[in-house]
Amino acid sequence: MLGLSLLLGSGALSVILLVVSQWLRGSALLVTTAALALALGVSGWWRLRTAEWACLPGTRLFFAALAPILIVIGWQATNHPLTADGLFNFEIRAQIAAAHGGHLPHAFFSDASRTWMHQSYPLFLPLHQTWIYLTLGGVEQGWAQLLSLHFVLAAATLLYAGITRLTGAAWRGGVAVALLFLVPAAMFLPGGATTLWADFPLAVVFLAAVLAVAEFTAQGRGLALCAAWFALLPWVKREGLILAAVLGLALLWIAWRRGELRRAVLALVPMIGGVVAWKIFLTAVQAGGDRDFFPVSLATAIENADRLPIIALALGRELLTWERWNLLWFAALLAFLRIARDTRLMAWRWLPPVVLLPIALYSCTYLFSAWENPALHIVTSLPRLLLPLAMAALIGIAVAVPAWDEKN
Amino acid sequence: MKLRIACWWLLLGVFAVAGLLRWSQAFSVAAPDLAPDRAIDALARQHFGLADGAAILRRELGTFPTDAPLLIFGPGNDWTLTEAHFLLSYLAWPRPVWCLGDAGPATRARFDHPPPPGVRPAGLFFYKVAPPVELPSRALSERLSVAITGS
Repeated sequence: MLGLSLLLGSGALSVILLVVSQWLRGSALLVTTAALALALGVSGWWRLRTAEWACLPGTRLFFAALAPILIVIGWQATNHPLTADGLFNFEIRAQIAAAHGGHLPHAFFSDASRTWMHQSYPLFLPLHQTWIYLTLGGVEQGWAQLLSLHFVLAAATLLYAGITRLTGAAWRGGVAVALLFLVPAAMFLPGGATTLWADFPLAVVFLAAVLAVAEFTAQGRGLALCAAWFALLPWVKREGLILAAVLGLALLWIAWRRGELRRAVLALVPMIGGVVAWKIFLTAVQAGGDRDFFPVSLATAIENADRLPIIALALGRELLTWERWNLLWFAALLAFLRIARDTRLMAWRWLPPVVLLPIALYSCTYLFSAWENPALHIVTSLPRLLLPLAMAALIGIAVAVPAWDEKN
Repeated sequence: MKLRIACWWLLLGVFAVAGLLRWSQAFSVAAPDLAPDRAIDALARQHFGLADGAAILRRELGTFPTDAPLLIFGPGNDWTLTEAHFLLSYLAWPRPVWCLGDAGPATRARFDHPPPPGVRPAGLFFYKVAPPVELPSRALSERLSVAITGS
């Protein structure tokens, strides 16, 4: 429940702040946003006040182990300054918004001298930083970096609670969380939790979405949560649309087998609505175009087909880079093979395609790279694209690890 | 079956050791720094050699009107020109900041973001290159000088 609250609260806060900041500034924006967020929280509490709270096994031990890890994460986040994308693609929006009372001026989106800031990037993370700056009364990069803790806490609690609930084994939840902290790319490398780029928040939302689909597969409930996560994915980062589309397909397939296709289709509506609304907004503010990719066309794909070996080589090399991924992808491969062969894990057979298909789609996007050196484009972006998929792979590993006393 | 289970747990054990090894390599014992401009100060120190760089650059940029276009000029094949440009642009908002890279005669710079034709910058920043002698300029550090063109 804590992980869900942290992440749903994040999504709600960013949307409320964006909408309210179109009309209000400064203290009025702060008070109105806080009041609306609080009202949402109170209404959630009111709805759940009579619900029975089930405490998962091992919860105390989990939080006792998590506390020192969070201290380490907070320490590392606050002694490494923001860099590169974290500063120039995300935090800068918050800094500009803070200078305008919490409102990101429309002139920002169409400023031709700042196209390198990728003005069409969604505002999920910058709006969190804007909120911090609004509450602290000015730009505070050091304090803003403590947002890392928010997303790490959400990831750890979602992973532990989700896997423990779905498998009935608290140790599997513990294994998944332990592995998460042992993957360098997820923690302290560019895009990882302590660096506060949008990649880690995207990975956490994807994790929540995968767990919600697993919950629907197991118990036929949780479609409202699926809808919320699908809508949030493209709002965190643009590639979230690819993740939402692939996971959406998996959900439709599962729902079709359960005879609940119509309800599942409805779960995709908020995502489509959000993407269309953001596109309309970007068009209205005349946002700068993307200089990283050529428009997608068959002709461009054929023209750049000679890049395929380069892409495949770079991908293979990346997955085997233990300094970034530890043994994650090797363990994931073994886990996926076990999921495919073991009938006890049949309910998880939708998971490997949800990890593998986006990897294939991401790789294909480099056929349209407009960079002079596409290999450099791959090397600088692919590791971060893989981060959300690593979260899903962690779930696969945690459910596939055989118990000590397992028979056959 | 027992062997397969043991192999899985051995794999997780190696995972743990490798992960802790990487943590030990990346872990920094430096004290937390919650300064408001810590990231900007760090980059200004790294690229321009400026201490308290955010404050100095804000003061310099503040002397230009808010609609005045600015330009940073530097070595066009040096990737740090990109970060130098981004840094000035970060602090200069809402002033447009363009970037011109010098890559030698008839060679296109790899790292630049030139202004469209007709833009006359009100201020020129010279990064890692010396300003022309005929242009009155002021050195902010060994690597950064500023000239006001009056355009």
